[in-house]
Amino acid sequence: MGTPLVKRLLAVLLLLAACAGPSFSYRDYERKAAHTVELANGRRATRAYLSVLLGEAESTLGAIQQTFEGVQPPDRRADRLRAELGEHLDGAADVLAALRIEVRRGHVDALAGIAEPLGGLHDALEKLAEEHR
Amino acid sequence: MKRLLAVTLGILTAIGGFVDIGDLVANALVGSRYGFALAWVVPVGVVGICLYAEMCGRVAAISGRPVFDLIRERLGPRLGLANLAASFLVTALTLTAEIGGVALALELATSVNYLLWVPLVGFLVWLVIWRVGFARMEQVFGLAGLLLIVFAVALWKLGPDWGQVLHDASHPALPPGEGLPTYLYYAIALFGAAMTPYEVFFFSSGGVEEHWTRRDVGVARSNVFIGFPLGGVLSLAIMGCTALVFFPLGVGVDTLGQVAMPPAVALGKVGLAIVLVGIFAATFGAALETGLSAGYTVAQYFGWQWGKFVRPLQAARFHGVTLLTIVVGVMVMLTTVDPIKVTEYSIVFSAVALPLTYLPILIVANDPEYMGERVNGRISNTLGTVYLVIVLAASLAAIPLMIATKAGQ
Amino acid sequence: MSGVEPRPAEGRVYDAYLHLLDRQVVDPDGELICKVDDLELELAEDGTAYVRAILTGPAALGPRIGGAPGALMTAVHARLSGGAGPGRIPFHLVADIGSAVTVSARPADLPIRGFEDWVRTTIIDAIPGASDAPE
Repeated sequence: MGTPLVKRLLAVLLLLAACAGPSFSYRDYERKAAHTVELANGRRATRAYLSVLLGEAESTLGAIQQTFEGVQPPDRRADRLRAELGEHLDGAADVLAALRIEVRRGHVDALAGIAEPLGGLHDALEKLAEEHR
Repeated sequence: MKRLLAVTLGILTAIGGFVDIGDLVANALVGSRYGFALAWVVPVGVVGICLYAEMCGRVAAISGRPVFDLIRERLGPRLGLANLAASFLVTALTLTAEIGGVALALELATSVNYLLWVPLVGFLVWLVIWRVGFARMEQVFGLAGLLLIVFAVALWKLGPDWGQVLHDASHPALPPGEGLPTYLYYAIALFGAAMTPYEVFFFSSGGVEEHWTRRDVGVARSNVFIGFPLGGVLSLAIMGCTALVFFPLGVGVDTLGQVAMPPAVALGKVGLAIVLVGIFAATFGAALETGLSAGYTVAQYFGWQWGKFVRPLQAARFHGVTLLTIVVGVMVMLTTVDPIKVTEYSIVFSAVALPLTYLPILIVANDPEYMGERVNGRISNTLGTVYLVIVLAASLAAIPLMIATKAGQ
Repeated sequence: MSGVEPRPAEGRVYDAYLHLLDRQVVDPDGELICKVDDLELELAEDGTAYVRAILTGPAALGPRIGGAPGALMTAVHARLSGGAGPGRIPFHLVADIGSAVTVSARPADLPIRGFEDWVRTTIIDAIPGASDAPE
């Protein structure tokens, strides 16, 4: 709690990009992401803008999931990685969908709570990426 | 005093009108992916376009004819036709991208899907071209485009370490994990975004629309030499914003929503509102310019009457071409192709077409028959030739690099 | 065009290629008419060539462009205009040759307005505001 929503959003975008695109490398995002203030606590962005942003994030995530699901895992170890990663991606998709719905309904203050799991998801994805570098 | 106001207005219009969807996407993307490592491309591009826009403005003011009109006379019908084909296609592609950009800006403001906006945007672009006077059209959208200064304000508010920024910009280094071919590809894309062909042809035709004479050469020059560089500063501000917000996270910007994020992050709802209006104005203004340029280039090659300075009835083919190009642009957008992808292709193909469009300008600006004693001086010619070499290199490298890097993956 | 130098009795000598071809043709008020897409030449009895008329339009331009694009242009024009030849402006109407070629006739009087007229009557006329004076 207390982690800014946008930091988590961007963090998820980061991990999505790292998974799907080529060679986006890591930065010490925790330190630098302190720049990004709370975008979505209702005082920084309009509802329309947020819903478009979230929709875009969902599309990106959906595209990544599709690509990901199309890849044939080469061995058992990859099987496990695939299962874990798939679970995390699904989790992120659920959160994003919930965010989008709540933004459209105008419950902007509830967003911080809904986005809570993204922090944990992000950490888990980071861990996965480190393990399988 | 009145003269000073007119000159200031011209400069402000030039600044606000400098940035279009290509600059927005290119600078934001490059900033998010390379930080400040490609910042050097912007001044290089700005000097280039200043150089050639000045030539085009001077040609219009001295000869009373726009530069594209004179290209066929100097190059002959075959090379002139090749030039027309390249210029027209790139301009039409850019128009398509601008229409997409306006629709995206409207989507961000209203959350109504951009595809629903596309036909309306096409209609509005045509309507403004049809009904609104040239000078007023330029001023309204140019001044409204100045709102993009919000990127500079946001950059300042984000409080970067300016020493570090200056160092990164002057010592370009590849971020870890990035290859040289992709770096060069984006350098060319950024260059193409700064030097799009339609800008110089529009500037020249616009000079004739506004009935410039030799006395207006000074005004044209101040627009170019003060307005365009400041427009370049705006471009760098866009790059700086994404460099500060997205680059540390390793997130590449690939939607217009992300381009608008830094002002929202730094300045809240007010920043967001301003940047969305600014983006709308800049892309709509550019759509007007590319729409008109499509008509200008075709009409000027074939010798048809063109221009908003006559009744539409007297320039039917010119208006017909503009209308048709807008319709085609709308239809292309409605195929749901990604507007950002269209923008990227438009700026890369602009880079490819540059030598074909710029060489004739250099030739015409040196011709004493049109220019009298106001032909190019040694500085213009030296720099002009240097830039011709640069654009040739960029043009030749663009397609191979696009293929090799799979369009910048 | 033959390489024989024309010997005018009076007046200036022009190089048709440099000073005439691909020039903009304007009327006395500066209104744009067309381009000099080609020239109609005739041989006089003493063997010198002189210009009889300015030719304009796709039928004139197509052959000068040549190759596939030129052939396409000529063919499309022939198809749409029912085999009409190039637009023709008799050279005696030329009043001045400067950076543009000025003819002393109004655009409406010249028999070269096919495409413009068609676009105007078919599309532009129908749109409200087509005859409004510019701001």
